[in-house]
Amino acid sequence: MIEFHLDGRSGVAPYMQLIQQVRQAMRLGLLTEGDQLPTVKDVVAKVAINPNTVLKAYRELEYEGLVTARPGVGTFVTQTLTDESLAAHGPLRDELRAWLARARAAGLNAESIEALFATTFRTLVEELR
Amino acid sequence: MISPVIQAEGLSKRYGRREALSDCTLSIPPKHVVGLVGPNGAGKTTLLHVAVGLLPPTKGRIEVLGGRPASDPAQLARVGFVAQDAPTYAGLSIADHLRFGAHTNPRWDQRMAEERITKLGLDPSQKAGRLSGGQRAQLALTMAIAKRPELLILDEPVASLDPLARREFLQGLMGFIADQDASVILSSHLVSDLERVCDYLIVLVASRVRVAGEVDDLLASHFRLTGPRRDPADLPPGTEVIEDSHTDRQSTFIVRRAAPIDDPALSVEQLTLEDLVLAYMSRAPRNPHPALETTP
Amino acid sequence: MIWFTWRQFRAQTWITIGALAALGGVLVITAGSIADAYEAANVANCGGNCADALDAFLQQVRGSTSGTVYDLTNVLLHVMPVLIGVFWGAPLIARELETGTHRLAWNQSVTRTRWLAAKLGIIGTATAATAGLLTWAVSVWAQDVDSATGDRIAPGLFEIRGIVPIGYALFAFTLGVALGMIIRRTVPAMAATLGIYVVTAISMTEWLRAHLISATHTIKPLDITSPGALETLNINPETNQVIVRGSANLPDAWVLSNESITDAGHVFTGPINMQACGDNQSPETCLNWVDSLGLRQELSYHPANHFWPLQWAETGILLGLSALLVGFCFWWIRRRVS
Repeated sequence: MIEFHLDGRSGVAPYMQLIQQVRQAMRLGLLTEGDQLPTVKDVVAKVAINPNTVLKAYRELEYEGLVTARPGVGTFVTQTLTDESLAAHGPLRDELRAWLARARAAGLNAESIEALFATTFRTLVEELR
Repeated sequence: MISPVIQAEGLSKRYGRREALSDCTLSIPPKHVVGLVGPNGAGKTTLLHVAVGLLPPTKGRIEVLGGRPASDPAQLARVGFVAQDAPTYAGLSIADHLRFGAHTNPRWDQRMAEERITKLGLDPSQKAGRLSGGQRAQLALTMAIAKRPELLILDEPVASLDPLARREFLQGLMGFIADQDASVILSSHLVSDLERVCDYLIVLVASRVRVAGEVDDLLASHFRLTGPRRDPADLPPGTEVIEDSHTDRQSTFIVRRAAPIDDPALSVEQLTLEDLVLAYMSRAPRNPHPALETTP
Repeated sequence: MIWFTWRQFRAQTWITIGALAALGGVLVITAGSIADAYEAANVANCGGNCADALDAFLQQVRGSTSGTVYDLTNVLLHVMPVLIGVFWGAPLIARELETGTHRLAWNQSVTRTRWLAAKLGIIGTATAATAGLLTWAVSVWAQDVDSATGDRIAPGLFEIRGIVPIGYALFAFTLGVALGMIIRRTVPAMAATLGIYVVTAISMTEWLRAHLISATHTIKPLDITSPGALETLNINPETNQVIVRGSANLPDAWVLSNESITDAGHVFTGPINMQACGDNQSPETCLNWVDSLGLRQELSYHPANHFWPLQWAETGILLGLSALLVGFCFWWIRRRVS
């Protein structure tokens, strides 16, 4: 069973943080197929957030197909995330290093690189919505 | 159309020359955790006291759960209230308090109350005067919860509690909501108390409602715009300026706008709930009809 | 609500029961010595001339512990309504308003009216019961002494016999509750209750009671020469004024005024005949001269049989005041309080 925590200063909405933490746990292998997520009651008893927030996060995860809710029993993980993405990590990392080298060569300092990455990433996320 | 837990129209409360509440209109949806925020002296306690029937309004109407506040025992049974500083009878024990609740409330759940007291590590024979502030707050909350209300109202419940007691109180409160599916209204002068738990927000400043709405909708419709110095009137149409500040080169606006902003000269940022509340708190009262809810 | 009212009142209940029991014990113990003194003075068989026997009896009682207890009960019964008003009445609502617990109590599913009704009803009944029991016990214990002194109807004893103490206690209680509701702070409410009660009680005794029922008026020839008939003879040679009064000769009555009047109906004040009443003259000469003036004695008094009518009248007024205060309390709690 995993535990949630909230970062009040991250600027990310609470329900989004819960979703990210579930995905992260799945990626790290802490949650595998068949594992039960903590009940809403357990979560709010530890974290003191609105129960609706937890429900919203769990619904979103169910919509993404990562978990399934069994009424009266609980919410259970339906997939294991570790396999697929890990394989793609290697080549992606190599490409990223090459790109970073080119950016440095073009004269961008660390902050400019971060700003460029952040704005492009955000635009991409918006477009995908 | 679900009926609101609180419906107020033109609600005003006057003490002699002073207006504690002016022309408040609210339609609070059920099954939400409602945060009532505002500086000290804004009228939060007055509004809550009117809602639980401790005070009669001077003008206007208010309906709580479809009825007049505190009109009869049945109405009283549906609303739980924890007043500021969680008053308890210092000379009476915790068990005495619970027995008082059991004798006077029709839907009292004694077993749940006792379980809660035990889980909190409290001794039922302990006199309430010997409890710490956090423990008294928990006792008051237990009494309000055990009568199984449909609406729970809390006046600055965590204001005088240390961080640990505060966390424990909110944990208990959230557990109650998860169990009983009730509506909750809590007031505070600190937004940070409310950010994690509220999904509906009311900002009350200087006796008036400045803004009221679902937190998600409010956060999605308010932005901070930064850009070269310009007049507020030069912003794209349909933009309501909540707060603006200018230097000789730069202007910063906090605005409310339904559609996304398209101006390349402006950088658009999301707001935190605290930013939003602060913007409305500092807004000068030039608008006699304050911004109301975002959803019909 | 009934259980809760008692629970809040628990400490006072035990104190009161303890005090009443202690007093009861003392009364029982000393009752014997009063009965003994009564027998020793042979009051039962004194026939027509009882003054000496009664005096002997009272003398003996005053000298014994019973005398001290008698004085103590006098004080206790006078103070009892004050204690009730200050300690039972004033804090009843004021304490709740001061500590904010009314916001807890009024959120339980009882209306304010019912809440107040339970408190007033239960503690009010306790007030009446305590006052009644205390008065009855002391009245029974002291009945021989009372009939010997004949002072029952006079101020000083009237307020602590019969049923009037119940009226005073209820008045003090309701006064305390009402002041507590208005003032909202316990200690100031207690002080205000004390002040207003004392003023009211004194006013009742000094001014109001005498007029509750028409007093009896008699005018008869003034007798100041028979043995024991003269009460006062005050001569002031400088102003040439004199005050003369004959004894009222009304044991068991409450004498309101006793004046010596002339034929014209005015109070006789002089001038004095210096030859009859000068320094070098004997008192008898002066007395004989006054006697020769043919003055009359005008008496205004309540005879002993006015005791119960006065009791009912005064109790009625006190109960009426209490009812008004109770009505005020109910009105106030619905309208004003947060």
